[in-house]
Amino acid sequence: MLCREGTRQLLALLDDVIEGRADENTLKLMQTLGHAVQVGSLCGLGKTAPNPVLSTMRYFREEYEDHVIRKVCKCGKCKSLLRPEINQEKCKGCGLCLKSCPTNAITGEKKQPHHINAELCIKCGACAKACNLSAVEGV
Amino acid sequence: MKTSLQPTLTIDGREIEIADERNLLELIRKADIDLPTFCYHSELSIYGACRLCLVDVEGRGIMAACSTPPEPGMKLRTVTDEIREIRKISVELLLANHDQSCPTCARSANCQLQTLARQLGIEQVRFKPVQQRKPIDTSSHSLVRDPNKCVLCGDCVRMCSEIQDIGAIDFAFRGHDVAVLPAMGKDLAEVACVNCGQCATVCPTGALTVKSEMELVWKAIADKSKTVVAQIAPAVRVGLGEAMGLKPGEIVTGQIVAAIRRLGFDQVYDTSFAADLTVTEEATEFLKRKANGKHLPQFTSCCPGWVKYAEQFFPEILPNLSTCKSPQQMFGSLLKEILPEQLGVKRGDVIVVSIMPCTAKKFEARREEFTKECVADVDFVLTTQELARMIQSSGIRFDKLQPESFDMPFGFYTGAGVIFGASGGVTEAVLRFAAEKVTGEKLKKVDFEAVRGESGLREANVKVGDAELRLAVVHGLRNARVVAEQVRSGKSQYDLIEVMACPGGCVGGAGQPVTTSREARAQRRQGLYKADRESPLHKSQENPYITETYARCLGEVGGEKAHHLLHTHYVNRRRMEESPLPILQSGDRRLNIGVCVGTNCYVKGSQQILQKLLQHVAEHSLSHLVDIRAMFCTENCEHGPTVLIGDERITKCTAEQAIAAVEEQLQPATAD
Repeated sequence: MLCREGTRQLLALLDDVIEGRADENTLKLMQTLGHAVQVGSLCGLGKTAPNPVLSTMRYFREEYEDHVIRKVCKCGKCKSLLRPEINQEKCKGCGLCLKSCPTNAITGEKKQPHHINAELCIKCGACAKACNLSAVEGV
Repeated sequence: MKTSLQPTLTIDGREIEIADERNLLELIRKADIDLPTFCYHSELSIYGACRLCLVDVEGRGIMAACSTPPEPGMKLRTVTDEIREIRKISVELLLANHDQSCPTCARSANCQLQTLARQLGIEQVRFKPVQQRKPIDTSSHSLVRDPNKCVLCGDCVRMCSEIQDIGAIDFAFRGHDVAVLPAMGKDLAEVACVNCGQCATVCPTGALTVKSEMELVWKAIADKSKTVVAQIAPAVRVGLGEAMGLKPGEIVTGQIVAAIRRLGFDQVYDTSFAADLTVTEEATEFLKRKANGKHLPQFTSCCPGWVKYAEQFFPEILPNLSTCKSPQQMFGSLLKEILPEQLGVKRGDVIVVSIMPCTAKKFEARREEFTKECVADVDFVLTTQELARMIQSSGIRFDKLQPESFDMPFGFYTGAGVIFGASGGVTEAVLRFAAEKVTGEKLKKVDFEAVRGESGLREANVKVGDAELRLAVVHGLRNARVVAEQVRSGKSQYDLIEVMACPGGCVGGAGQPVTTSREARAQRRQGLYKADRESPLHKSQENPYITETYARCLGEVGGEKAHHLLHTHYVNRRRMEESPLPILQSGDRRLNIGVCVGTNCYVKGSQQILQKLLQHVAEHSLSHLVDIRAMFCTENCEHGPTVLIGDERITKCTAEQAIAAVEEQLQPATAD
């Protein structure tokens, strides 16, 4: 019972973390739930199921806190936490990013620094790839 | 607590002696600590999956008490902070995957999940609701299966297979998808379920509940054109009190009668009267069989769960079943025969409501055999639980009711009729009748202690006159299988076998207030024997109204009219119902032809027979005279192919034989 329902909830809590819905209580709950599944499960499979979550929480605590408290994903893997921006100083207004954007989220005059409209942006990273000056940051 | 050199262990600092307890849980409960569980029942095997009975064993860590045998010197703690947190998490996880419609749930206030959540002080569920709604199965006449409320403890599964030996439901799928389902995901009404409802008595939540007919009964009571008659089964009088906060086994017959009258029923009768009638018919039938040595041993037929079980799994021994209807159905057909004339109303305007400790009775009342001219003999069946709820919902203060007596004449009963509700009671009642009938002398002692008791399979030899009767009393269908196997293989040495599907007989029926405690069942049983002792008469043959009913309406005991009204027949249900496929249907429906196309017969060439028959019919323009159907297995595989032509059954049939038989049977038809 604990492993059947527990692992499913552990996954849901992990989803909260990577999608930026989590807070500090989420981390505490994950720890308690993980421990309960570890100790309370019937078989070895259930007892070890929460190990990946618990050991990453132990050794990569900072990364969890980044996601939960500061709401950033330093590896750029959690899309919900990405906020791509164009560095206004680096951008020379060449227009490559504007052409590459699939949702037309980038605007700007030629030879002037461009901007990303956060509402339209789907965080695909195409602009960052297109830019020769590494002016797109936060992806 | 230490008194001898008995080995001990320590529970929460107290030293407890180890006797013959099988596991720590039994020991902890012996020490008066009520450790919560979902999946543990002393009568079922240990499953160990609910993870609520966790205890901390010093030096070993946290383990489930139900699946750990006690060892001397163990030191365990039943509540620690860690254990409390794990228990809370377990219940929260279950609640996150539970249809929390508690106020409208049939098990509200009687639900273990609800109770546990309250006891553990759960104020909010910290997890997300993950439930996906699944359809509710209302196909059965007796039970409702709501998978949205299932906590997958498996109690029902183990009850069905271990105690009842049926296995109508089991676990399907894996991981998060696990569900308790009838075979192949079919509806409960389509599988081998015998409607005993024992699954519902062990279900900790509202996932398996008794199907309610309360609304229909309220409607019938409100309808001025209907005369609503109640019959109350023996076991109800020792069960209803529990739902009203009284002790198990307390006899509340008079209050029940008073309450039912207040609810608006026109007449209140006692099923024990019909039980007296059953004794008379069944004992007479038994003595007849005993005299001519045919169809022995005789099985009792009062229990509809057992009857369906026999029809499904032991069709070969159906002739051994007593042909007597159950008391409920005897009463139904008798009342529907007598009352309309007496009251000058139509048969359909007399509504018979029976109040039963049983869920299978709901199914029984809807069997085809018990419906005459589109009017059922018993219209509605309420369980003890439903009656309790009707009384509560009408605001009647049960504890303030003054006892009232049944309406006459069908409210008059003897002690023999009352003990029907306990396992062994039918046998004892039959013995009280048969002994006097055989010897012609008055019985000195009416109590046959030998057939009473708790064990699931009891044997007794009782001397009646010169003969010694060999009796078996069985409850729980797994035990019934043992004796039925013996009968099927011709090795049975009994004369009379009483079978009740539910543990303890009707007192342990699924319609009673929910309990799985042996003590409660024993107290109810004792209540019935007490009612027998307090009754002025103890033998069915002494019931003056039975004699009068025979004189007035039924004629001779075991006679033609009695047979017509009080006896029934059984059907082979080994195959689930599969309607034959019509291939050629004529308007006149002159001759029914059926060709078995089951695998075995098909391999032996039944398809060719079918084709040749169709060809023959076409060539000779007989299509307006015959109905041709493809049938499924006729249980005769070794002699296949099987062809049915009219009433004639041809085994090892060839196309020529079939055509010849058709021609022969059609001869008189074509002649005119």
